[in-house]
Amino acid sequence: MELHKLTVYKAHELIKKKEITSEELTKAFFKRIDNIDDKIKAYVSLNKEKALKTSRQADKKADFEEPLLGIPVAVKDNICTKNLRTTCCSKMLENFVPPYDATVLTKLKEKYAVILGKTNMDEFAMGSSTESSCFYPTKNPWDLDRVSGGSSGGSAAAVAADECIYALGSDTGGSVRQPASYCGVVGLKPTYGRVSRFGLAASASSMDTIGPITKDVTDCAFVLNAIAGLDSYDPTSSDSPVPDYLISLQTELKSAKIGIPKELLGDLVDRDVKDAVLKAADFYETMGCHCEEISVPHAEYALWVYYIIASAEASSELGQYDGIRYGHRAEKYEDLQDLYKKSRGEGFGIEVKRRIVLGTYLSDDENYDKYYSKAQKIRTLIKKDFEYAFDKYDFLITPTVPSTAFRIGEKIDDQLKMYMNDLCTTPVNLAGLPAISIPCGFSKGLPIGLQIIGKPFDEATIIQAAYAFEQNTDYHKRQIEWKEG
Amino acid sequence: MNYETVVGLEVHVELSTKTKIFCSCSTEFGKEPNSHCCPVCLGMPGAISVMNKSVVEYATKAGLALNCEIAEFSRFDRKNYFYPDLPKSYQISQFYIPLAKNGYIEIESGEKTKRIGIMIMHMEEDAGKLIHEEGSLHSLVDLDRAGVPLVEIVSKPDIRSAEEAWLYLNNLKTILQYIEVSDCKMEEGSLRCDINISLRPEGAKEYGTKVEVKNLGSFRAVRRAIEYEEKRQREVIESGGRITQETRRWDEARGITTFMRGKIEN
Repeated sequence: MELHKLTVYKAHELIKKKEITSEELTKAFFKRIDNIDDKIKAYVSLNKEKALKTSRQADKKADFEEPLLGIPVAVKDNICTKNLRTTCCSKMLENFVPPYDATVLTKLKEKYAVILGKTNMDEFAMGSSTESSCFYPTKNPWDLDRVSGGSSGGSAAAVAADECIYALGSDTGGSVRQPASYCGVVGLKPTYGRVSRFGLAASASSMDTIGPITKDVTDCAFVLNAIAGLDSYDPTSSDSPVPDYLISLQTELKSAKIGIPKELLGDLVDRDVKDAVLKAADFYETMGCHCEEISVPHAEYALWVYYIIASAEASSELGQYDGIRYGHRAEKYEDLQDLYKKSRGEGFGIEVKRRIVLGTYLSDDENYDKYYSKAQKIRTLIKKDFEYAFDKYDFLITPTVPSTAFRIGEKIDDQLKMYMNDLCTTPVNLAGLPAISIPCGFSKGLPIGLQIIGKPFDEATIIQAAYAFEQNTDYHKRQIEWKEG
Repeated sequence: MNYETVVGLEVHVELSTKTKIFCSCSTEFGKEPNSHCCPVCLGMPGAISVMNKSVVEYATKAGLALNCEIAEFSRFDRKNYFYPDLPKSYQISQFYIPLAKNGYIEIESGEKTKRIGIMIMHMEEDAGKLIHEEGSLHSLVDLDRAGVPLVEIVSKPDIRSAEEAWLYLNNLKTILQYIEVSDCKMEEGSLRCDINISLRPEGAKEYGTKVEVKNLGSFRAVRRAIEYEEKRQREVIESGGRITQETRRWDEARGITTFMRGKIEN
């Protein structure tokens, strides 16, 4: 039995029946990482010694009802892990070891989850390809010449390549869903406030979320159950009760009304991707649902509104990386101004600098009303468009990304082309809604993702819609053909 | 020509809550440097500021005691700038919708009771402390004070003399001590005061150019600084010069104000 191919659900069953141990499972993953991560480059730090120690502790626990007990997980490197280096894949934090855990880690550690290591990402989560990591780009397991997506590229690739059972990523403009789509796995962005952000290095506090990346929808429900909920350390977390998402793992859809926003299925979307989404709509119709083209009129502006707001917020969030208390500090400097300039100049990569400069400009006194303030107003209109749509429809479907994974190096020098990847995902972040990406087809051997968008705090419905589709199709079962050598 | 002195006072008061405004670190004074810190007040990755309810209660009490209108909806804003005593590189303060406004303090000026208006009172977090040692090539940063809750009380420019300023400050101190929201000890830094002062010809409606004066360590210093500035500004005007908008520093030892920095576009 190839242990690294297990899902949370299957591994839990085997551990419960005492057919395997967490220690065996953990060892299998470190062996797997040893074998292939040189090719994939999903990880930036490994936690071998402590992971094995935790796995042995998990094996001693009698509580085999806990589904995540002893199950190996990979964590995106912008989520703080106590005593384990957390870099945000930036030279600025290259040697930063947090003395605290993010709340999601505290929750997983209570269940004796086994932290395998930290995964690669675009620096400070700014990017859609993991190419802006200060370390190296992560390869797409389906085609090693292509990107794994971003900014949670390492997490998505690790799940797709069976280098962990599940992973945590972060999603501010699509950073869980887009790499999940490119890598043919499941990625969920929860409603803003559903999962605590404490310990997630902020890129844009009004949109940042932490979400699970998993091999199938069932696993996604298990993980969301574990990480969702109110947190006193995060005042933006919600006290809305957390349902049991396992209940949503059923295929009966009860004639749901489904909207297909036409603004997100236009000319910018590849032919193959469009066809796959329309085929998914057909599937839902055969299940007794009713699909209709709808309009989310201000979604047309979402991408630009997103970049204005995200850059402005990032310029403020990243101010704390100044070389004074922790992080990179320049070795030689003349005075305080020079210390700041050199530390930040050396610590940050080009895309991060670009967004800080842009964000500072768009939100300064002169431009505040022209750009930032206006963008926030359009954001309210986008939110209202969705509210109006959800008055009539139970969920919406769109492509996750307008295309499939592009080649490494293809878009890195063309910012506008790179930003266009986020066309379908950014409206969701602006409105704070939950959305899940699941595999729904292939184009020339590369995975296509279907995005299902739900009402606020209605992860239950989108998980159910995703599960119904998954259980009646085969896309999630297709195996990567590993080329030898 | 007779000139009228116009003074407004900006007072920062430390609220005596047990813990800081956005985290549960202790506000206890005079402890080991950097011993009352946590990821939140240190501005570490992923830390999030959480409102301390008692700060809002203390500030509201202060607002009511100062006869202010208390906002039903109030909001915090960020003031972004870089300085080593500012861990997040932004100060959380209130700009657009402060907690309280349109209050007053009464003073007994001569035979009459006069009202000195309070424009706004808002909540904000304090910065840390920088310690510059004699002859040292570096400065030390102590962040115990970072995140200590403050209210900033901005008076209307209703004060007309050093004496009135002194009375205003004393009454403010008495009120806030009485309702037990602060110990108001200027020498310990739990009450700080900046002066905005200008002169205008008696009877004129328009305000003159105002000068800001900082580094006042006591109520007596405030009184002396106003008296000095009145005289200095009159001398400048009467010799044909013009007052420029600037920030000046009170030098306690020499009893004068000196130029600190020019006008900052606000």
